[in-house]
Amino acid sequence: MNPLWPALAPTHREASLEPLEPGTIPATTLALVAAVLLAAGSLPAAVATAAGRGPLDWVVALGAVGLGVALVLLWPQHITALVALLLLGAAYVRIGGVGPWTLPLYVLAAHAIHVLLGLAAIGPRSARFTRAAVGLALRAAAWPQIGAQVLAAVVLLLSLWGPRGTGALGTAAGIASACVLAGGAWMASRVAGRAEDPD
Amino acid sequence: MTAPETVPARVVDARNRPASAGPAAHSPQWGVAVVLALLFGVGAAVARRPDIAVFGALFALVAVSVPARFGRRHAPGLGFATGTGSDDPARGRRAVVFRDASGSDGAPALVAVRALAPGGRESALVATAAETVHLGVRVPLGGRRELLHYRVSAFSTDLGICRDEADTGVLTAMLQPQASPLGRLPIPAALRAHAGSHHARLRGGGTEIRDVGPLRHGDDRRHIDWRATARSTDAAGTPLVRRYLAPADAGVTLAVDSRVDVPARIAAWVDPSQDALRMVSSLQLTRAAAGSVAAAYTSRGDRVGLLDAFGFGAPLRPAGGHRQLELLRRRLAALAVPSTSLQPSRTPAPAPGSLVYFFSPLLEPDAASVPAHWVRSGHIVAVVDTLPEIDAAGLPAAEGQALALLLATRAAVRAELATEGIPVVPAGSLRASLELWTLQRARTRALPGAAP
Repeated sequence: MNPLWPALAPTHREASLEPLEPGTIPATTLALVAAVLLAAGSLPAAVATAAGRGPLDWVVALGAVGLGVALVLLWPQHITALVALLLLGAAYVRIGGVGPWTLPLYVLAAHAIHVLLGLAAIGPRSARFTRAAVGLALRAAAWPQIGAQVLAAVVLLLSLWGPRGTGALGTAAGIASACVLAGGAWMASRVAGRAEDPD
Repeated sequence: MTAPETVPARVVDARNRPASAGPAAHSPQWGVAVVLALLFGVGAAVARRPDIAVFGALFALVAVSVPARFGRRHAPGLGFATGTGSDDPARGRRAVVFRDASGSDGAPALVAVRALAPGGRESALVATAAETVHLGVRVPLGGRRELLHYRVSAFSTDLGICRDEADTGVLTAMLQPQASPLGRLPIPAALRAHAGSHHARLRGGGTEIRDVGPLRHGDDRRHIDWRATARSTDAAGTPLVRRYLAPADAGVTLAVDSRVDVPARIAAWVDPSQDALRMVSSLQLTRAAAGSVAAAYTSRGDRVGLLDAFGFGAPLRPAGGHRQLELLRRRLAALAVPSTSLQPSRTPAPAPGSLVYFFSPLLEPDAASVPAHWVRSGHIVAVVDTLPEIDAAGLPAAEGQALALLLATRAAVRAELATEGIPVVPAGSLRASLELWTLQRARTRALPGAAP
C-alpha cells in the first residue's frame, strides 16, 4: 500500500460536503473530457506531421500529445490549459497538411478545454459541479473563445494568399487571445482560492 | 445508545458580519483585450496593412464579448436553511440547503462554495446563482458542534471575474437529545413526605381548578358546576363541569458531570485526527439519558431541574411542563466540557427533598464525593454511568497501561459509591436498570440514605 496515495492512507478523510442530488459532475470528469478533446483535436495534426517519416518523428509527435493529455489529467489547472491550447495552436499550423475539415474540431476542442479546465481550477480536486453550472459556463464563454479562434483560423486561411508572415502572426494572435482568456480566469481563481486569514 | 437519525437539528450560520463584497471586480481580460486591439489598430494604420487590422478585430471581439466588470449585485452570499431537510442516514449525513443569498437580480453567475469540516477534507461545490442545492454535511450525534468553515465566491459566467466574500462563514449545528421511553420510574411514595405537593399541568383530582367545560366522558359528575350551567347560553343544556389539576409530588434534579467527554474509541481520546464526530461519547450518552429521564418525569407532571454537579454554569430550577422540558433539552444539547479547569469550591445543592440523578462517566477520582455528600444531606441519589462501551483496539502498550490505571480508578469510584449505598445504573440500558431499581426500592422500602 502506498501511504502517499490519499485514498489508501490509514486515516482517509471524507469530503466535508457533498451534494445529495444525483447528477453533479466531479472535477476529475471535467479533466477527463478535456483530455479526450485534446487528444482528438491534436492527433490528426500529429499523425499528419509524422506520416512518412522515421520512428523518432512518431515518438516526438505522439509523445507531445500524450504529455499534454497526462498533464491535463494529473493537474487540471490554467497552466495545463495553456499547454493544451498551445498544442492545439500547433495543430493550426499543420492545417494545410491535414485539411480544413479539422478546423471545427480544433475550435470546439480549444473552447471546451479552456472552459472545463478553468472550472476545474476553481476548487480542489474533490470539487463537484452542477450540470447547470457547467452548461452556463460553456455557453457564456462560447462567444469570446469560439469567435476568437474562428477569426484566427480564417486569418490563417487567408494568409495562404496574403502577405508573407500573416499566417504565423494570425496563429500567434489566436493563441494570444486564448491566453488572455485563460489568464483572466487564472487570476479570478486565485482570488477565490486565497489562503484564509486566521484572524 | 445512539441518537436516532430523526432527531431535529438546528443549523446556525454563525457569521459575525453579513456577506459583503471582496475586492473590486474588474475584468483583466477586458482590459488586456482592449489594449491589444488598440495596439493592432494603430499598427495597422501605421503600416497600412489591413491584415493586421483583422488581428485587432480579433481582440476587439474578445473585449466586446467578455463582461467589463462585475457589479455590486454580484456580492456573493450564502443562505443555509435553519433546519435540516431530508436525511441520508446510510452515510451518516444530514441535508442542509444552500442558496445564493446575494439578492442578485437574476443576472447569471456562478457560485463556488469551498468548505472544510473538522476531520474532513476540503471540498467545493460550484452551482449557478439561480440554483438551490441540497448538501450532505456530517453532523454530530448530539450537542453543539461546528460543522463547516466555508467561503463563498461568485464568478462571472466566463470565469474571468471573481467576487470573494469578505468573511469566512462558520456553520454550527445544535442537536437536541432524543427521548427514549422509560417504563416504571422510582419516586412518588417514598418522596411524597420530602418533596411536598404541587400541582401538575395535567388534569386530575387535585384541589386547584384547571378549567370549566362541557361534561365529557371520563369527567366526574360530582364536579358538575350547576351555577355555571344555569348561566350558560348553550341551547343543548350540556352541563358544565369543573376540572382540577392533578397533584404531583416528585421533584427530580438531573446533575451532570461535564468535566470530560470521552468517545468510545480509546485511540480518539488522544488523537485529534480521528473523527470523533459520530462516535458515541460520554456527554452524548448523558444528553440522551438525561433527556429521556426529563421527558418521562415531566410527562407525569413532575418537576425536573438541571445542574452541573461541580458548579460549572447556572442551575435550572425544578419546574414542570412542556416549556421546562424544552428548556432542559436545550441546556442538554448545549452541554460541553467547561473551558476552565478551575473547579468552583462550593458544591451545588439540589432542590430540597428531590430525587437526584447523577450522570457521570466515573473517571475522575472525586466523582463519588458529590453524590455521597448529597446522600448524607438526605437526598435519594442514583448514579447513571455514562461511560460508553470502550473500544481499545489498536492501542499501544503504554496507552494500554494508562487505560488500565484509569479503569482501576473507576473501579475505586464505583466501590466508594457502593459503600455509600448509591445505586449505579448504566446509561446504555437505562429503561431496564431503572425498572429494576424501582422494584428493589418497592421491595425494601428503603428510606433516603438508608442501606437497602
